[in-house]
Amino acid sequence: MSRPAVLAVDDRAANLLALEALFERFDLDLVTGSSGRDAIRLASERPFAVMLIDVVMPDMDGFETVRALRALPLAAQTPIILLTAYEFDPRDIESLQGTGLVDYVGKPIAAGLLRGKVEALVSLYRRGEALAAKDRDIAILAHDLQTPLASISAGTELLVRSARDQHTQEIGQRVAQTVQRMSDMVSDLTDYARVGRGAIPVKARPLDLATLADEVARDCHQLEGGARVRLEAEGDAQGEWDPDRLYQAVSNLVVNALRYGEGDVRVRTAGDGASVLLSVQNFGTPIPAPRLSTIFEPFQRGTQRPNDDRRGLGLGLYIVRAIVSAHGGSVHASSSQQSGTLFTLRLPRQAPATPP
Amino acid sequence: LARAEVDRTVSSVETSRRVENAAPTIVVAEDDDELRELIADLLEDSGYDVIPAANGKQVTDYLEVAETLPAAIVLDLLMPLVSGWEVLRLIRSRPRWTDIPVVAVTGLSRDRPTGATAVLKKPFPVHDLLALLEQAAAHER
Repeated sequence: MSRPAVLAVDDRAANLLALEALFERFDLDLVTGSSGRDAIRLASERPFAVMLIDVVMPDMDGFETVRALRALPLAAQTPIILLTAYEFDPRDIESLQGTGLVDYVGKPIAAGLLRGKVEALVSLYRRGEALAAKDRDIAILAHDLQTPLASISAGTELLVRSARDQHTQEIGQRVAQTVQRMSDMVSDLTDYARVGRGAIPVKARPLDLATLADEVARDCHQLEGGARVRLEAEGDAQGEWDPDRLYQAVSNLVVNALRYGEGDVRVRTAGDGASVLLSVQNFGTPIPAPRLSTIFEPFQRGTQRPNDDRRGLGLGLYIVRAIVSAHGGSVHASSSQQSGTLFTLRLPRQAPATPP
Repeated sequence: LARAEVDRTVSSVETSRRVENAAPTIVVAEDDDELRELIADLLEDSGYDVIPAANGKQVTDYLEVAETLPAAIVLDLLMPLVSGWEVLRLIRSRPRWTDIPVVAVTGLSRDRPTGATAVLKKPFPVHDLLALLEQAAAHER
């Protein structure tokens, strides 16, 4: 892993030299700039663990610089410590509320204080990076597990082909089902690792939710053999979302409905002003209320059926919620004997920009 | 390895060309030895000639020298040296290769490679692969 970088911005070269001396022995790259504009240029090129910004600078002062930095995807969440020689006007602090973690240290700088703060923030940053790296590794490893599963599946088919008796056929069938189940778990694990830290990157492009629902329905029909998905579309279901992510969310809901429900599954899309709604409905045994309240938590399942050999890891709905939240939307579940189990997604037509 | 592999595959193509009604040739590109050999066995069982490739480079090396193009390519997307994605892009950009049917194989259900004739998600039922190759071979004739 590369050394964490800390940005220091001050219009006085002497102050920058002092900061460099302060962090000389630290295992970090101190990158310096002499103006707000420098800060913006540097922070749009690479992520920083912490940014130290002088308040009094000509042209663009520290407050203005913080506001501009917050608009950059790479700097939107970065902790900032303002360096100031005078007391703040409280209103200036108020004006920075909602711009993430901002701290300040008065000048002349108490070396131990600033070092301590930076050290703590850098170590948090390192931990975050390590977690993200671990999530990436898990996603890659989980994905790699699909290949040996494909070998087991192909090998079993080869065996079954050469032995034509019914018993062998049945065993082959069971192995194939188990492989499929494990493959689904591995897929869930891959997705779980990818959404692990809650920040799913959204690559939005124009999309019609009704078309996407149709695509999911066709694929699920193939997968779940014979089960029927009824589509209903009402009004304008167009917006800008990440097609792959939403496909995943909708197919998780439809596959659940096919597996745990009885009879047809209804998928409805409807335009609703600045939002688009998508609902997936199935009938059958309702989900009890206590379960319903935790159904979007990881490793939970709504209905547990005896002898159900299609149990997954219980990550599907957690992933649905993570994807929908990343699009600035919400998901709601209800379940009763009369109206069945209903999952409703509400998505703003425009997904908010997310840091990569 | 690549050189020897290509020499061997070239000679096997020439052999098969000499035979009347030669079996259709399928390139099986998969970096996992186990899976590649299993798929190869299954396809040979079903009457195909199989050219194995363990990375994307072996696929393009083979296509460069093959006098007769394969009936289809089974292409894993994640392979070392030259990935399946890259091979697919190359195949679709060369006039001589562009009509070869390609069945892309991937571990991620989200992958939708442009230019692939069909996509199979690992693990896949072998009869699905056979059905796709039958279609491809029939289309060839």
